[in-house]
Amino acid sequence: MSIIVKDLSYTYNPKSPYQTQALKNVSLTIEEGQFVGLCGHTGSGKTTFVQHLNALIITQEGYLSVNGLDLTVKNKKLRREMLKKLRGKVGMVFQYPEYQLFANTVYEDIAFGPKNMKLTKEEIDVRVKEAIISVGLDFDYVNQKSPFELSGGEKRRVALAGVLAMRPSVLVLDEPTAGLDPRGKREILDLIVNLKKQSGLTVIMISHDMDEVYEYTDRTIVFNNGTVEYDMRTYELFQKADLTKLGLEIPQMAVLNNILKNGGVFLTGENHTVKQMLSALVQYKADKLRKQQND
Amino acid sequence: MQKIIEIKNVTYNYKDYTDNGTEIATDRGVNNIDLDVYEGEFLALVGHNGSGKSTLAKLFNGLIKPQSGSVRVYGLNPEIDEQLYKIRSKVGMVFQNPDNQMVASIVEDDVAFGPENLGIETKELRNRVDNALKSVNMYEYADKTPTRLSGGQKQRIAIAGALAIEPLVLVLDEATSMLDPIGRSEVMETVLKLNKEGITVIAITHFMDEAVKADRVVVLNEGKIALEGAPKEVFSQGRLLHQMGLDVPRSVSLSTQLSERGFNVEPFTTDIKLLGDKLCQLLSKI
Repeated sequence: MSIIVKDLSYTYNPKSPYQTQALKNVSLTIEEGQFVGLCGHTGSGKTTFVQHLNALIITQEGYLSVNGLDLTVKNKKLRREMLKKLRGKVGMVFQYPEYQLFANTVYEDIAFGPKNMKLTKEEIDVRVKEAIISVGLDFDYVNQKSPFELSGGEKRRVALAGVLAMRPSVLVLDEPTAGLDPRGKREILDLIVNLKKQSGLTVIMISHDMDEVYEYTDRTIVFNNGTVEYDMRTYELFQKADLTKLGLEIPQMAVLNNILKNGGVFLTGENHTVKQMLSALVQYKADKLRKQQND
Repeated sequence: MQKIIEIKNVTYNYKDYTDNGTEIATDRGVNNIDLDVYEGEFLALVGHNGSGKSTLAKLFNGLIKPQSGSVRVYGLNPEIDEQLYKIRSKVGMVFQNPDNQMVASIVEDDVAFGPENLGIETKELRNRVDNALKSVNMYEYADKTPTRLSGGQKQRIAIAGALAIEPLVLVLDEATSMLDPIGRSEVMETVLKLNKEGITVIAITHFMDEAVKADRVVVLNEGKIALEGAPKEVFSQGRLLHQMGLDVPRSVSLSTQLSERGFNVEPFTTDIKLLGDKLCQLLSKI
């Protein structure tokens, strides 16, 4: 099952002086289990796009389906049924999600979604436990705590757990690492990678940090003025496309890889991280020295 | 260089409350900190979430007062009310969220808010607002409404608001963390320019590539100063920084590790392009 988008367009405040077209004829398909990065400067349409995916925005034009559910259905009764099925499927983690925590205890906060899905008490209990553990927090330590007593990074995990408790098959994250310190960033991203590995989750991540996108995603979609400017395998994108004109930075390891290639140094592998780059360089040097000796 | 801020043995801890309202002391905040800030420098404060950076920032302009120890800003004591107001007019602050710092519905009114409260005359006020907007390159937006600006533009308006009180020191508390790359570089360029013009800058940041541009980096950990020095000295302590939840810029990390493994590269290369060229040279010679 996957996300299918065809000619999706959206206009804010139509027929008013503030009319702005946020999406223009966007078409793409996202397969199950992909880790997709969504990039583009502020106002490029990426947030409008992801808000379509769980029907926070009602489609105006074009076709959109998620896991076989047609989100453009107009018939009221069918639409209600579709929404019911959809809500738990696409989990949305907004920017600074810790600002949305509201309950007295971590447990209640995470249980809010499953409760609204009218699950049994036992089922809710199972899901809350599972969600807390999956974000790397200690259940006994946090479950009766107020979410407001926790650190910034912990709060963000609780917010993420609240979404995971719905057991979504697609996880949409809007700048999940914004405002976190370097360790907090790494921890959240590693956590997402693990979740994806364990449950085959499809992950769509909006990010302004190109180094992060380069290290973690398989595919990158770049929005510009409401259209899809690029949609490629992440590695290819940063080797080929001229992204600086769109206000995006080139990841450090991609810059280095390009310089090396132009200088005739062809390393093994794609080397998206410092660690990979380091060992590829060490390997390259050793191979060359060995070859020299043999000659 | 002249010392302008002296922080001596300062402790400021936050309090917790039990369910029945009794106070419990915590060690969150800063503990026995000593720090001097020098005129005209660009000082970067880094540290993990909760390390005490923002607490320290609030001590610089008397938003909070030390529980023990002393703070002097241009020789003034924030614990004495009359002196506190003088400190506020010398030290301007810009916070993280651009949307929380707008007080007026027109850009120039927003910038005028600070000096107006200081009782500045209309003519002088006009001058200050115009100058402040010009120096952040937002003069043509004077009559626009802040809500329709980008994040980077809003933060530049917030900086203009701080500049309009003609401060000698500008404190930025993660002022770029909610911005996109364009907004970030707009703000950083503005700040570097102001620093060149003579304003002392204290920038709190999670972006190590911003800290690398500073004259001096101070690393906070668990409410104490763990490391301090030129960016080169601080970022050469990769392992220690890692333990404290921080990172080294990628280019610095790679060049340092390559140099440890016998590559003839400068261990502290902040520019990835320089490192790339050097590696091409080295590896093609073999």
